[in-house]
Amino acid sequence: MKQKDVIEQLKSLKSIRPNSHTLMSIERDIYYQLKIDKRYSVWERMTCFFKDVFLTFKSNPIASYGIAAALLIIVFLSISTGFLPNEINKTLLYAKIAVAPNQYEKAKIAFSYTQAQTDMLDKNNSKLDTYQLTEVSRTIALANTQLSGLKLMGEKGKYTSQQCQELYKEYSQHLEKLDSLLSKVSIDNGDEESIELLKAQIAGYEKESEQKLKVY
Amino acid sequence: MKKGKQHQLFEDAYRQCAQGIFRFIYFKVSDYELAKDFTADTFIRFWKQLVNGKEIQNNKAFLYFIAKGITIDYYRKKKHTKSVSLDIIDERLLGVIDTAEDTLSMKQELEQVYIKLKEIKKEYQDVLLLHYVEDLKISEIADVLNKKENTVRVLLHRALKVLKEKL
Repeated sequence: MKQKDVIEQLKSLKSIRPNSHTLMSIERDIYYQLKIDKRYSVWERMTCFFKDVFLTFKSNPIASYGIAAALLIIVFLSISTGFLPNEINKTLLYAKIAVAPNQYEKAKIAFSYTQAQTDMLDKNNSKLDTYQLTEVSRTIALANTQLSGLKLMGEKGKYTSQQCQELYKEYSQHLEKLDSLLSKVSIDNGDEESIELLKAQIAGYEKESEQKLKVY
Repeated sequence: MKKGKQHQLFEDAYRQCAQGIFRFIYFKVSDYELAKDFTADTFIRFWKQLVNGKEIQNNKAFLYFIAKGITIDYYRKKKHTKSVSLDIIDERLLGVIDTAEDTLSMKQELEQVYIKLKEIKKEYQDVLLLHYVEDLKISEIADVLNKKENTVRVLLHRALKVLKEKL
């Protein structure tokens, strides 16, 4: 063996190295022992995580092809069944409501969602399916719950009674629109009872909102 | 030196040298967990020197100097007579090799070099590792080993010759 080959073999030992996760854990240990508060940015954590994932995939190609194939199948099935977009929308809606600063904002978010849904139904369908009906019922119930939580005289520093009144007016008009829309449509499996139940639900909400508007 | 500047210097040194220091220590102790602890100890000692205001000419060489000292202390204190398993390179250190097939053959090749390297004099191991694996210059190795540059050159030459015969 030539000297050059020996050097090459020695240099190959450079490929023995710890992963970034190990280096980060050592660094954490150092800062802990030195009592220094070291904060890692999201970028640093993400870089470290993706580097390790990349290295793991590189060293286990069969497993990584398996995982990639499984992910593709899950994404394909989710999108083709329409499950993913709906679930994401719902999760986003609930998250937005949860983080809204006050009840007025929560009510507005829930109301906007049901408005958008009704507009979509109005444009696209003269025929509804059971799933769509259930969704309408669910979102209008959510909007009603959030609106019911409003203090009609407002809350100091958060929202005024005038804002509440306007929101209730809009809500009331929306309920009327929805009611008339439901009178025009039919359900594809002939389950007219579901439409009647939804109409009864809306009628209840209309009555409730009228009573609230009388306060002003 | 101001504290902020010390922090920056320390972070830069960690980013640049941690991987090499870890590897160097691992070659010395052949134990992954111990290598982690000793790498941390190395940087803690480095930090203390920075805080005490020690003038450090070359951070990299100084870090390897500390690391070497720590491993010497370890063997001295433990009177380490029990031989560690030298023929195995921890799997966690081989994550960068391309495919499973490559991993196996490359692991065998690496272990072969690793075992042969472990068989030669410690002094020779050090110069070879520091120069060819950790990319330290002759002057830096002289600082780490506390020897003259010419001595390092001679050692390097002899070490290569001995390893060549082994391989």
